[in-house]
Amino acid sequence: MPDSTSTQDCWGLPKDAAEADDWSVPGPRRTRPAEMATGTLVRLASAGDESAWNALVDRFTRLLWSVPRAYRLDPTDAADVVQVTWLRLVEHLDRIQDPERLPGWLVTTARRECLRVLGRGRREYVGSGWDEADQLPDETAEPLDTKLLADERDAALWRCLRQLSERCQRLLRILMATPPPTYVDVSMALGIPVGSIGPTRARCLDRLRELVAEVGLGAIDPETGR
Amino acid sequence: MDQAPRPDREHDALLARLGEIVDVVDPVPEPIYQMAYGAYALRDLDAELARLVDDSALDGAVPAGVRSGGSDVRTLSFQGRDVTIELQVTRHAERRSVLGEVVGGEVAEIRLEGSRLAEAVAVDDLGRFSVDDLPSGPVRLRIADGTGTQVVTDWVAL
Repeated sequence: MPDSTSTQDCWGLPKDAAEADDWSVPGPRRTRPAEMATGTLVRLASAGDESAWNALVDRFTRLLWSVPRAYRLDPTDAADVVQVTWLRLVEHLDRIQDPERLPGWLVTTARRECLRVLGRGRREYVGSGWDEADQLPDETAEPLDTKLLADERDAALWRCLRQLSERCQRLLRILMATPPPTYVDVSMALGIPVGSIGPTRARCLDRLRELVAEVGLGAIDPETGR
Repeated sequence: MDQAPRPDREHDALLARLGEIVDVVDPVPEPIYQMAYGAYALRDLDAELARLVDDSALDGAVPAGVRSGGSDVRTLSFQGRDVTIELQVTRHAERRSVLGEVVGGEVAEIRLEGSRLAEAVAVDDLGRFSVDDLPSGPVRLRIADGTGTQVVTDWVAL
């Protein structure tokens, strides 16, 4: 039995060290939360470990943000979608069937929240399914600030992306997220068949390459994408 | 595993570059991280969870033409083990008003919780309550019966 006078967290670390988040302290080899498997983090967070929860937030918030942004929700609605998804997870931590598949649970929850916003606020978009996607008017998207991009070639690439069909933009917005979602997760995020993702991805990226060539950005290096 | 075969390295490189760009032009706003870290502190292991089982806003997103009229009223149902909570939410621009009813079980107290607010809500003998002038955003209800048993609903963004 460990010394009962010292409180320890799930990795056998002294509590205060964990709370200080000081992972640089030399000592026996241990795994940082950021390096742990998702399923492990879910189980630890479910058991009360806040640093495991924070690691989940750090790992998946960018992917989650990509879902409402793919659906073209404005930043306020998108923030609500992400917030509700994390709040729901807190109460469902010990009910997640397969903790390793957490990203699927997260994007499914976020997608339902997106449909809720779309069903509520923009009736003309009811359905908001794959087939209707090409009909969504482009003015719903606020122009993202390409001035933030130091590289003019990046800005030009982004402008080309904005000329793609709504369907392509939606799919690529999810696919470019970090960490890269599996096709199963993409399927759950957008409510589309897994088998349609690869061919659509290829078609959209081919079209993007054509647009890039038209504006004279030159050939794209297959190694760097530049 | 469930990744399709990669047809083209150039596609991968292009997508990777788009991933770098999107982190600049459409980053996650920092307050979202703070909110998400903070969500953990709102975890309640003692209360029973009443799950969202019906939401007219979600019904409306599936087939067109089945929505009830043109009014912007949303109905939600939460189901706990012994209680059902029904809400009717009306939007007024950025504000919300809520009419609610708790069915089954005795209700001693109802609190409305947001990520930053918690307020007691007056409830009548029939389990009915109303809240006016609520800001939009995520909320849940906490219901206590006379014996100290607590029920919390799933979080919903109103």
